[in-house]
This record gives sequence, structure tokens and C-alpha cells, in this order.
Amino acid sequence: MGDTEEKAKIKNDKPNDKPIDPKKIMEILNKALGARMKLWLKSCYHCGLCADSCFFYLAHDKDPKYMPSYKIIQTLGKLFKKKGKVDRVFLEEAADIVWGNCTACRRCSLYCPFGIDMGVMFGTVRAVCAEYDLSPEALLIATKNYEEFDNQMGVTEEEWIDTCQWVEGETTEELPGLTIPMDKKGAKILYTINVREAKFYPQDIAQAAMIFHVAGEDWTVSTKGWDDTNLAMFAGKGKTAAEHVKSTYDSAQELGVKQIVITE
Amino acid sequence: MYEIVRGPLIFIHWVTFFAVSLVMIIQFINLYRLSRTKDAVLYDNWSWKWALYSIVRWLIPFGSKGMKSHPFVTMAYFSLHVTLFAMPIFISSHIFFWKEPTQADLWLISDRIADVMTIIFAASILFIAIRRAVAPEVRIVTTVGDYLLLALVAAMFLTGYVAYHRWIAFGINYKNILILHILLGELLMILIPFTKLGHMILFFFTRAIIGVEFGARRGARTW
Repeated sequence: MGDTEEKAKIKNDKPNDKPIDPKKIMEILNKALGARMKLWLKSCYHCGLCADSCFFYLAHDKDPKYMPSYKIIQTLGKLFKKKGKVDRVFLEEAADIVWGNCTACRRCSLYCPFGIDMGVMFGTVRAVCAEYDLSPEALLIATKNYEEFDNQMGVTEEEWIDTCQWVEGETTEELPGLTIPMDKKGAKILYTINVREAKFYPQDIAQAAMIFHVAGEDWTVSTKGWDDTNLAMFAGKGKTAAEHVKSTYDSAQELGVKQIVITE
Repeated sequence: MYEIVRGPLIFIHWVTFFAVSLVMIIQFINLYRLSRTKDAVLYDNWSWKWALYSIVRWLIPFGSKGMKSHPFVTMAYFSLHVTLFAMPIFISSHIFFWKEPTQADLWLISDRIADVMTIIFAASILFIAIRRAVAPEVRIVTTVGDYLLLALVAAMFLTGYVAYHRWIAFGINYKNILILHILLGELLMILIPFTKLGHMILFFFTRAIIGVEFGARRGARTW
């Protein structure tokens, strides 16, 4: 597959038309500029040892344009150097790099002699690009769903409760006495799922319920914050990402559980 | 000659040393205070065990996966760093650093070994410079500054070597070469807090941070 085709697939055709504001960009950058970020920006000795860690680099016949530190220098490095005074073309190219040529898997951190956390640095560039909705379209759709429904697929609370009850009914035939406790206060475990399970693979919920039942665990699911995916984070939408995590955390506190278990 | 070295130059040396140390202490305090407000996530999971593992494993030759996959680069960088640390402190020509203020006898490296170390140093720095110019993945991120720092370090070694053997190089007599050698040393020291040479200290911080992030938080190794 050609490079342009690959890019075209992930690219968002409908970025917003907010004028590029260096002040806003610097605000996002400065928010991320803690002691760690300062150290990382200062520490790269340009040794090139991160190259072999990156599968984008290896998959492109070791084309140095795909090595992690080069990608950082081209995006975050330039944003800092130019003090946010960049144009839309620059941001579009940066978006291509931070979403098209990096998955933020952080493997490069294991190969860097200084342990520079490049995943977090790419995340910062993503936040800048996301300000102008340059994130991949699918991630932006998911982000809207988080904002509206607190899960990435737009499943409503009624649908979620219905699904659990239906799965419970189906599974009790096989394992009498099995229940899927909903919002059970004081339970030990709060079980959260990938919303995909509720929408397409309810048998996964059934299987988890069977394990909890047989193991005799005191568990519950919640009506709020039950989707443990966080695509808003990958979209660079930090605020939505944080709110979504908080809803799970709030549920856990309200129910007084000891542990949050996330699905496989 | 010995008088110039003992007199003004050693004075300049200690002034520089303490000034640079002070700058680095201030830099550290500022970073620490910033980290307390903006990097709270670091302290939530702080673990000395993971921090130390992360540092030590990268100080042992071939102690990490990355080093094992690049044996020549690893050997070059370790030779460079070992000679760069050992020689300024332990060779006989530098004995006055310690003898004057402390009366301690730290003459540990014989002159013959020092010569061998110089050759090892020269070979490793040459390897690193050539790699910078030749390997595409290094070349693409290399800046003029990277070469300049290598050149400065190499020049400091070369002048030291020439001065020790009392050769006349480039038509300059040994005394002036020696002064040049000392001034280059001071310059490199001054550059530590402001350039990539800072990794001499920062290495320990960045390694500790990633060790805690991957180890204490996720139980994953970073070596």
C-alpha cells in the first residue's frame, strides 16, 4: 500500500477552521512542560539508538525519517523552537507523523539510553493538533460519543442495563444462581468493559460473569463509567479523556469498591 | 610553568568548578520544584528500587537489551566514558588536583596505562564521529553542536597528550599547549549545565523517571 493511501485513510477531512493561534499552542505546550518534559527535551544526545525499536522504521526499510527521535524533532522540537508560530500545513504534517507514523507504543523508551518517554511527547503534539481537530476522524467521532454518552460507541444507559439483564437471563440457564450485580454498594470488585462487548460481543460479558460467579467473587458493574476504553486520549483530547476516567473513578468511590478490574 | 599552573590556573579551576556546581544545584532545585507541581504523577508511584535498577542496568556494559543489539556502539560509548572519567582524576599529571588541597595520593593509573587509554579514547571517539557521519539514522538527527562537543573533548585529550609528551605541535611550544589544555578543560566544565554535556548529571534523573514510570507503575523493565 502506498504511503499516501495509508495517510488518506486516517486523515480527518473536516478539521475545524479555527485560525492557528500561537498563544493557544504555547498554552498547550506549557501545560505539558513540567520538569520531566524539560529533562527529555534537553537529554536527547542524537545517538540514534531508538531507531531499531520502532516498527514503523523497520517496516519502511530503515528509512531514517521514521525513527522516533527524528519524528519528535520534526514535530514537538519545532513547535517549541518556533514558539508555536506555525501554519496549518505544518500542523497537518505533524498530525500525519504523530498519528500516521507513531502509535505511541513507547517501545522507543526502552531502547533510549536516557529513557526519554517519547510516547508522552507524541501525546503533547497530538493535543496541539487535536485543538484544530486534525485527529483521525474515527477518534474524533469516538470523542464526541464520550462527551455525550461516556462511552465510545454511543450506547445509552438503558441499553447497557438491558444488555446486562439479558445476558444474565441467558447465562443463568447454564449456571443457575448467576447474577450480574448492577451498582452493588460495598462490592469488592468493580468490573468495567470495552463498550464493544456490550454492542457486539455480549457473550464476553457472560463469560466474565461466569468466571466471577464460579470464583465466588463479590463483584458489580456500574451504570456510570463502565466503558474502560479511552480513545479520547489517543485523539489528543485531554479534557474528555480525563473526564471519562473520572466517571469510572467516581463510580468506584460511590460504590465503595476495593478494586477496578478492566476487561481483557 | 608549574607556578602558573599552581597559581592563577588552579584558582580559575576551582572558581569554575564551584560556579558550575552552584548553577547545577540551582537548576536542580528549580526542576524539583517544578516537578512537585507539574509532575505529581511521578511521585504517586515513586520507587527507589525501580529507579536504581533502571540506572544501574544502563551503567553495566551490555546490561540492557538496546546495548546488546548494538555491541560496537556500546563498546565505543563505554570506552569513551570510562577513559573520560578515569583519566582526568587518576593520572599522575593531574595529581596536584588532589594532593594540594587534601594531601591524598590518588595516583592510580601508571603513565603507560594512560597512554593505552588515550589510544582507546581516540579510537572510540573516532568511531562515534564516523558513525554520526555515516549511519543514516544518526546522521539525520545530528547537529553541528554534536560534532562541536566531540571536537572539544577530542581537542582536550589531544592537547593533554601532546603536553605530557612535551612535543611541539603546530609550532606551539609545550607550555602554551598545556595552558590551552587546561582552558579547554575549564570550557568543557562550563558547558556542562548549558549543553548536551548535562547528560552527565541528567542521565540519572531521566533514567530514574522512566524506571519508576515503567517499573513501579506497570512492573515492566526498561533495560
